[in-house]
Amino acid sequence: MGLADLSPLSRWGVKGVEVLDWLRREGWWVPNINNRAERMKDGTIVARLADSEVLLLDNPAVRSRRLDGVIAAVLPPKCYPLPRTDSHAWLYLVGASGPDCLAKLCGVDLRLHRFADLAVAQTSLARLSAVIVRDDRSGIPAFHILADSASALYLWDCLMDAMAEFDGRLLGLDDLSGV
Amino acid sequence: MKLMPCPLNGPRSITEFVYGGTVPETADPASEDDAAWADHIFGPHTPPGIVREWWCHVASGYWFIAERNTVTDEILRTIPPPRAKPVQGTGS
Repeated sequence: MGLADLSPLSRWGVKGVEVLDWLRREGWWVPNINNRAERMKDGTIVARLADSEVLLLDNPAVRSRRLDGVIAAVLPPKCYPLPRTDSHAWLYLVGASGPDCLAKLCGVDLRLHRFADLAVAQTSLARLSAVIVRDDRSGIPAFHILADSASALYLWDCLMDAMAEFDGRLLGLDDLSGV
Repeated sequence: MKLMPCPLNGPRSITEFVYGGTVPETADPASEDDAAWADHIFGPHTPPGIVREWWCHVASGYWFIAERNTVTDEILRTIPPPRAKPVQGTGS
């Protein structure tokens, strides 16, 4: 298993009472329920965090730049942007031992049969508030982890320590393109 | 581990939440006398028994109302904000 730092890549959030309908009109696949995600054809992740909040994640293997359109868009009334790039570090844990590794840091049951592909959990990870999105890669379990960027080094160390017993290693973007 | 059933996220450790105070029940100025108003403004708002309180799930920034027994610290139920609005007197 491995851990990649995707923080340089594009991610964005939007919030507001009309945001779900607006994104759907713009062609985004928005989940019908909260704490679920959809995977666009190019691999971009659309995670619905609440009735009025959505998180968008670029596909690290493709980097389609689809998010550029949302970032530059004029939002409808009562909607506002959440520039997650400025607030949240973005890590990606890949591997079948991911749930066992995360169980050392998180109280939510993230086992594969309980936390399905494209499930979302907003919870505490290593005592940090975090958003966890399962986004399997070529059938390999994988988890996006977004948490406060000011605590990124702390979280990185926690995850590296937790991965050690599972022979965890660092992953680069080229590694993700290959799986 | 004590669990709080968040209406949005499901059961979560109580450590993921912060307390936001009791839900204020505004007295009716047309019918309440001075003593009732004084009690409403200055009196204690954490009586023993079942109270309604604001709580926030920090990881998602989600505010909701919980009914809690302050004597036993038992959480009876949690309510999402849209249903809670009439309690605040801000909805219909």
